[in-house]
Amino acid sequence: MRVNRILLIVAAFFYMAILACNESETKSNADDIGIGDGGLGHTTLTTAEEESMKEVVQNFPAPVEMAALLDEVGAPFSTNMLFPTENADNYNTSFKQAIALGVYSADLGYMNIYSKTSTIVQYLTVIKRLADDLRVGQYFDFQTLKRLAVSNENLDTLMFLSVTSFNEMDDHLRQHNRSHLSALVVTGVWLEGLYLATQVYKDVPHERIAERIGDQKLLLEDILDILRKYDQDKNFADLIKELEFIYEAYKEVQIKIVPGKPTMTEQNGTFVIKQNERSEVTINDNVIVNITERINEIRNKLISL
Amino acid sequence: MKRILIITTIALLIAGFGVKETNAQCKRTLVYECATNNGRAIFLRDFNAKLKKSRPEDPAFIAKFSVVLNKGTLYRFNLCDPKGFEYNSMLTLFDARNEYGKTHYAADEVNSLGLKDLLKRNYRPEQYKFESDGSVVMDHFDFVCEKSGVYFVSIQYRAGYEDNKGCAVGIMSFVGKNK
Repeated sequence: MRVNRILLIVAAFFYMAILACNESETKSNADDIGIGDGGLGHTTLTTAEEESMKEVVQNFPAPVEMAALLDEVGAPFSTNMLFPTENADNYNTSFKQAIALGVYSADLGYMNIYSKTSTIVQYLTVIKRLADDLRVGQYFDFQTLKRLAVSNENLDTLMFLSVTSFNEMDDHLRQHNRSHLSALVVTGVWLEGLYLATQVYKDVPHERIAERIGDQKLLLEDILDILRKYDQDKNFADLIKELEFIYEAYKEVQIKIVPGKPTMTEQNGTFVIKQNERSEVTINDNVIVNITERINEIRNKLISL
Repeated sequence: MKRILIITTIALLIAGFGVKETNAQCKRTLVYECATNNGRAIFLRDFNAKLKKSRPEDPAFIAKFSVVLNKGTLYRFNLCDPKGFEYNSMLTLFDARNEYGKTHYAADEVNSLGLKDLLKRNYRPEQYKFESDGSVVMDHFDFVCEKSGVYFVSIQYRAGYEDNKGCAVGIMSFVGKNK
């Protein structure tokens, strides 16, 4: 009988312990929402909204893609275009920190593509600090990234760790009801990517850069969609206004789809599929100048936050 | 009475452990190996799929991911299965209108698309292999993107392998720009 009682107690204790673990996890997730910067995260998204937001954020092209295009068309690397690290300490709210994290990560992608490993360490330090402030620093293996950057070897691994660290941080933010910060990180990545492209276009007016700048119209629409879910917050409302100002400039950009069937070839032993259905972007230089000015204006505001 | 208590204890423990779903995605080591053992291609994103078991008579379980691709970019999609389960799964790239490529083509597709002649020109056994049933499996394919937009990647077990649960990891990387 005594054994029975012990068994019951053990079972009950075990079960309560497991439930308590799950409960405490839920509680800590909830605690993550309010992070003391005046209203962020007070908006609760429905499951469908969370899903659509997850899709937009996950789908977002990696920062290295824009940088790779700049490299491909022969644009030289320019340190002057990088977002300055001196002001990083001024980003003292999660709103500012999340945008800055996105901006610096876009710069990190730019440096990775051009193998500018000496500058990378400085940016990694700032990114690590911002990630710690946002309580997602645990996903960032700073020591390994730094070692890889300094040794200038194994760029594959450096790229892999950079990308996966950001993906894991993003997953964590979304899973812990801090999707609003994910949205801001993505906005920062997008702003900096577009800034780099527009700056390069001034000196290297390559058709493919113009087209990529025009293509950003679709991503900007997605970003505005997800930010508008938080428009009750003043910071978000202001950011949306700024981005709508850029979108105004995009109204003249036309994107049309020309149908076609995919074809298959073989190149050096690799099976290659060519799409043939293609998008055609119509964007003129005046529109690009307009977008360039507007993106500059917003970025300058970010620097002086 | 004792038996009831023991059964209750076991049931409670199972129920308790069952609260959290076991994570059966591929381990990070496999993702890393798959992402970095990829020639000149630069890693962009992984699609780590948890594959559920399904009966042959039921529709196969499919893990689906969406992704935005950029015009003018040459993307590489490769698929890695855990050791001992190589080529059990397949990856497909498609959008709302077309299916573009996949890592497994059934015998009838091989014939209708003329893949046998195409792939045998520079046959590389390390990149693809012809199965005895006339199908072809490959560990990667390249995609020349001509339209920026949303695409989908699906990962599922190949026909005949659905009676398993496990994982597979797809990797998207870019090889360089398509000029």
